[in-house]
Parts: sequence; structure tokens; C-alpha cells
Amino acid sequence: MTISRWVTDVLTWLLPPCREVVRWTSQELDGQLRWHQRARMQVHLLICALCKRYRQQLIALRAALRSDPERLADVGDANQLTPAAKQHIKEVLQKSTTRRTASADANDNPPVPKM
Amino acid sequence: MIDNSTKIAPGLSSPDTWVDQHGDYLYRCAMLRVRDAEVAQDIVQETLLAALQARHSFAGQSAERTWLVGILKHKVIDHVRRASREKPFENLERMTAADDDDASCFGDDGHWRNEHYGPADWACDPRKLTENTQFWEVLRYCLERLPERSAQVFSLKDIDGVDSDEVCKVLNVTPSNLWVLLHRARARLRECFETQWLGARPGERKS
Repeated sequence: MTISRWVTDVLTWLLPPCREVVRWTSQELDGQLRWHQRARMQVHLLICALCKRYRQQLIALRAALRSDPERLADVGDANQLTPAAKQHIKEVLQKSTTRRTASADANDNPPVPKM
Repeated sequence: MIDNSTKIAPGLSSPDTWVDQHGDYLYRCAMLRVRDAEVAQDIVQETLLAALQARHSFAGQSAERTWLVGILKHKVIDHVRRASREKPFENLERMTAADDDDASCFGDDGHWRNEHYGPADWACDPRKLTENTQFWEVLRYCLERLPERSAQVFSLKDIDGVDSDEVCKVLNVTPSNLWVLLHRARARLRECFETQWLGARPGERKS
């Protein structure tokens, strides 16, 4: 009985469930897997097509995002600043420029950022 | 004496034109990362103000827009740091395995219930995804639907590639919490992407 329990434990350790492997996949992306987890995952991936696919998909999504993240800002034109917001920002920038120019004129020197 | 403050570094356009040229783009970059219109607008403003002050140091090594996006990323990190201090990530210790979104995909034995519960075939070479404009549209759609906190974690780590230790500091979470948050964000994003991608493709073929 003790031996069969022991065998079950070893088998469970050797053959982690998919739920665990899916978690490890994410940790693997961050280089957080320990060597024994990596080894057990590799064995699991040999026999589990779904986990293998999951892993390939996560890797592909991350590689795509890392390759050219700003592409995400190229799409989604619906997201725009409102005209009022643009006007507001322009005014703030304008004010900041005027203030800086004025202080430069007063000192007859380029402004030095305070603090 | 010449007033240096109004001089523009070579390679930069006049700050008066920045809002019209880059405003919407920067706004979209900010929205991706913070998900709140008002906050995103503030971040665009802070970015342009900071750029205005730093314009003498623009080295011309990158394009103007890239330079602005670089400043924006710092402003986003500042915002997330402040927000995480005001409203810390809570109860993460409680929320462990049991209430993950993917709990229903797995049977009691921890394996995929059956192939319908597992990841579907995306019917394309994952390495060629980026060439497809629709890929970016679907991805953006799904990123916008991540919960706010998930989106913050995900964008810092997977979009901007911020170092894990730094992300933990910014979010004020432990490394093990970070892994839980990341795992969830990625699992959700993958699932949403799959649903939208496979749903969108038949339409694409018809047209």
C-alpha cells in the first residue's frame, strides 16, 4: 500500500496535469521555470497536443507584441482625443512655452529648471 | 543673448504641431496601457509637457514619434505606480488556483476536459500573424477588454518588456502575485483572441 502510494506520487510528479503545464508555460515566458519543471513540461508536451498548441500560441502572441508593439496604436482609429481635449492640451503647452520664454527674457539667460 | 528655450533641436517639428500630428496616436498608446480616457488624456498632456521641457536634449537618434512614445511609457509607469499605491492589489493570496478563469476548461484530474475545451487550431502559421492587419485589430480589441489591472500588468511586461523586478516594484506586488496576474492576463487574452480570430476569419474569406 505504501509502495503503491509512493508510485502514484512519483507518477503525479512526473506527469503534471495540463492545468499545471499551462501555468508553467506562462512562467517559462518570464524565465521563471526551474530545471525540473522544464523537464517535466517537455515530457508532457511530447504527449499532449493541446498543451503544446497552447504554448505555441502564447509564444507567438508575445513574440508578435514584442516585435512591433506600436502597431497596436496604428489600428483602432475610433480612439481619438476629443477636439476639446486637443484644444486644452494645446493651451497648456502654449502657456508653458510662454512662461518659459518670459522667464528667459527676464533673466536674459536660458531658463534653468527649478528644483 | 539668444534665447535657447525657443530653439528647436534638429529633427524635431515645432511643438505647436505636436498635438495635431501625434495627439491621437499617443492617446491610443496611452489607452492601451491605462484603459481610462481621462487618465490617458492626462498622460498625453504630461508627455507633451515633458517633451517640451526636454526638447533640447532630443538627440535625433530616433524619430520624433518614437521619442514621444518613449516619454509616454515613463509617464504610464508613473501613473501605474501612483495608482497601485492608492489602490493596492488586494486579496491576491486568496485568489489562487480555484477561481481562475480557466478552471472550467479542466476536469477534476487537471487535464483538459476534452479537445473542445482546449486551445483551438488558429488555422494559420503563428509566425506569420504579424503580417496580417486583422491580427492587430483583433489583438487590440482583446487587450481593450482585459480588466484594468490585468491590462496594466500585461502591458508593462509583455508589451513594453519592463523587467519583472521593476514591474513588481511599480505594482507593489510580490513576484508570486505577479506570476498569477500575468498567467491570468495571458490566458484571457489568448482565449479572447482565439474566439475573435476564428469568428472573424470566415467573414474575411467571404469578402
